[in-house]
Amino acid sequence: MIIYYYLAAFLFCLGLVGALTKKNLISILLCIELMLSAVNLFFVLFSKTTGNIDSQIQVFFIITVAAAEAAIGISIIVSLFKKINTTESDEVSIQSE
Amino acid sequence: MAIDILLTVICSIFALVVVISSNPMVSAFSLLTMFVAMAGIFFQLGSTFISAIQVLVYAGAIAILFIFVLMLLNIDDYKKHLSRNNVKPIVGIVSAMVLLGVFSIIITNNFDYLSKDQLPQTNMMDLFKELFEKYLVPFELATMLLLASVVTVVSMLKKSLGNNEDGDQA
Repeated sequence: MIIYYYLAAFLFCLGLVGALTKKNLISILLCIELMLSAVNLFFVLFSKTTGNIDSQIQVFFIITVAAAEAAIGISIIVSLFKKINTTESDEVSIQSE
Repeated sequence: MAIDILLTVICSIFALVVVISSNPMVSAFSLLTMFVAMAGIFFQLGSTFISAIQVLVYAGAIAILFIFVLMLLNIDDYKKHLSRNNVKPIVGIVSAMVLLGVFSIIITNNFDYLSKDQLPQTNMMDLFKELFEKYLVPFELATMLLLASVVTVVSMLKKSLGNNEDGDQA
């Protein structure tokens, strides 16, 4: 079971690298989902290691936050796409008008 | 033990594809595959309800929503969506330090004192009893969060898509 701890740490750092280096906004959101999923794995592993069920409750709330975050992020991206016709983060500036 | 290693390898490979690929559609599909493999990991760990939620919500709703929006936006110039190379060294150093820190915590704390056959099977009744008694107020706050996100999305898209009178019916 110890291999899953290393997997969760690896997935979190991979998502961190992707979220900081990607240029496409949708790819950045995908990498953030990767990080949230890695944290979910950590919580389930802690629950299994300590025999405490509270950590699994946190997974519900993380999934809720992830769903809300994905919906709002995608709506922001669609609004930007209607306005500036691209999803590249370098093209986005609030002061561009 | 073999299936643990298999699931870990599948998860690692598809997560690498998510980060490496320059095509967002390939990233979204490999993220979907990684979510399903992670549901298998949760099933292996004995928390079957989290595994079902992972397939239903993450793979079935969130990843499909990403794929759907990618199809709608029709981004065909993904060849220039490469990563930014000027921040790559510092990001690599920072994430390697995070990785080493977490690895050192894992190694020094010896988390692995429960073997596979003595893992506690999570009873769904216990889970829901905990959720609806001890965590009732955070549960209600989570529903408020979902309601707020729905209102935000509808108002934002209504403003950005223009004052279309046909849209008022919905």
